[in-house]
Amino acid sequence: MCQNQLISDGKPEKEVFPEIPLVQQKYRLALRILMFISFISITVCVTINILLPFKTFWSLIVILGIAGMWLSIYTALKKRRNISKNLLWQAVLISALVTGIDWFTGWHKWSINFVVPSVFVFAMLSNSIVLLIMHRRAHDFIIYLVVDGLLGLIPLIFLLTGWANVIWPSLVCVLLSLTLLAAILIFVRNMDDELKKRLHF
Amino acid sequence: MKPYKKEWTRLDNAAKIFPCNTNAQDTKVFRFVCQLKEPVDGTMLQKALEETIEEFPIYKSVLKSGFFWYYLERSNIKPLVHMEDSPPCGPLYDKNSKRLLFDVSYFGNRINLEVFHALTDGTGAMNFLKTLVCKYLFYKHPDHFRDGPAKINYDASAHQKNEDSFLKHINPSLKGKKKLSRAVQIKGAKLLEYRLGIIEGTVSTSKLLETARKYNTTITVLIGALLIKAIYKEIPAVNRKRPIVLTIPVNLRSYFESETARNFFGIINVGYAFSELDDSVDTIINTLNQKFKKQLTKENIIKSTGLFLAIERNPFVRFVPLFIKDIVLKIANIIAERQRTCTLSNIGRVEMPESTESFIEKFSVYNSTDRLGVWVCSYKDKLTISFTSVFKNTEIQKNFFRSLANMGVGVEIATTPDQ
Repeated sequence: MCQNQLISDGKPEKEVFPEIPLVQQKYRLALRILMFISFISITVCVTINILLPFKTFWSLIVILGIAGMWLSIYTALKKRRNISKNLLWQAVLISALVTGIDWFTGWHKWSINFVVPSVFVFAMLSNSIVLLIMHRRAHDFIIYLVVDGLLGLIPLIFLLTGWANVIWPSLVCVLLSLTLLAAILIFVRNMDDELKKRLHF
Repeated sequence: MKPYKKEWTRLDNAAKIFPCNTNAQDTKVFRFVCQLKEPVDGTMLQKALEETIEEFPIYKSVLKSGFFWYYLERSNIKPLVHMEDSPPCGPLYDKNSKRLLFDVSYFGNRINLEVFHALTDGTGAMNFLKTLVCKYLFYKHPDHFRDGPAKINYDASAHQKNEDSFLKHINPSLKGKKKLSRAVQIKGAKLLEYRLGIIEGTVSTSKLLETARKYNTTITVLIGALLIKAIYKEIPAVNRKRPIVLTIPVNLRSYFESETARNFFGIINVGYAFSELDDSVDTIINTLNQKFKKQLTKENIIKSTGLFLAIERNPFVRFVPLFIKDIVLKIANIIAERQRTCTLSNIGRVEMPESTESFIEKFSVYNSTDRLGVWVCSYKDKLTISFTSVFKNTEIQKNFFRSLANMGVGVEIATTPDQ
């Protein structure tokens, strides 16, 4: 600081702060390889799509798929410490991605007929299992189950508007979510308290 | 299923801006250090901590997000004292894992208390640390404290400690308008891994006070003036037309009757434009003296704090989902930061019970920042001025301590290892 050589006064100097080595970040290499592969696939697909006489711009689906995969990986890593929240987010992301791809490929409705209801059913079942296993920390997770249950009601819209032409997957999903919500309301005490907390303004 | 009724608390007005503006660089964590005259004993410290936390139940909280706001929820996580093993002011709040918002560690003679700012402010945390130190000394030296642990000068009921003093004392309808003008920004290469470089200078309180009196001013203004001058020397000439603005937190407990253990502070911005005034220390001090006098009045503080409160209570703001609030508050923070150059915070004099004095060397304080900050506190005749900085360059610190030494105030320096 004074730009002079420091002169020791004979007493051993006591360190005030511990020396802390720099940390190497995990995941780095695997993620970089995956990022490179994604980039190459997109460039190759777009090039083929432009050079060869295709009628559709199908490489957009590849881009969408890869973007979705990255979004999913990002959320999974970010929320790895909260499995319920993670499952919930993955369900939402996958549903949105699949519906998007279906839309671009001519709206054959396979997404809302089958995939979206099954994804929500899977989310509800897996989150219920998480809750049963981690019952000691139930209060931390219950809110995600409630949101799962509410999301599970979305296929009801598919049914009422007649968008879905295969009815049974949506029906199963809606019935399961109604059962789940009823179970929460009847069996979980102090649910009103939890909601008050989460919704205070 | 088990009933899980849990106590919870809204965040106070000031705390609301912290969770969304927390990032890897600016963790919104501050550290208070009590340096003893002997090495710290971890087992005794753990015992003392377990008792202290019962007196400050808000410290048992974790931060959770609701649909409209964040809130504090009581947890039964047990706080564990540990040897200091991570860089100062590292992250304490992680959106995706629930943990306590404070941490107690020790290294050599030092007891470190780190706190996430949404929980409390400097005054609140200091009361916690003082209580902790008193209890620790009682366990460590039972012979010396035959009548139980020494009592600090802080006697508040559980209700008073938990109070949101903003709501109680500040009337948002008296809000004032804020002028917006850009301030000089310090730039440069940063330390690796978002680390903070700390340079802590210890000076004699009486000597510094004597020097301040010579200039007819206070310690805070004197330090502020030297700091402004030290920054001025390092900024490129093209940027000198903008003012150098110090942000100074003000403890509102000294203006209103409050014993809260949570946040209760406001901030004032004090700028100095070298384009209009000369660069002699006397002129800087005189200008700062006037600005402090003008800004540190009760009406002025109500005006500036009321603005935030008015925004928070605005019905349109209240019913906006949290993730949108997060984005808006982030942008508001970026705009506010442009008007500031550096933070200067003087915690003031730390007073400890007389029976503990023979064991305590000094206190110091650091806060996370995304650029440069200066934190001051004094204990008896030892006053610590700590610079926390994200930059590799330490010229400003050098300028500052040199000018202090040139005034005849001897400085003893301690730094983090990578400086």
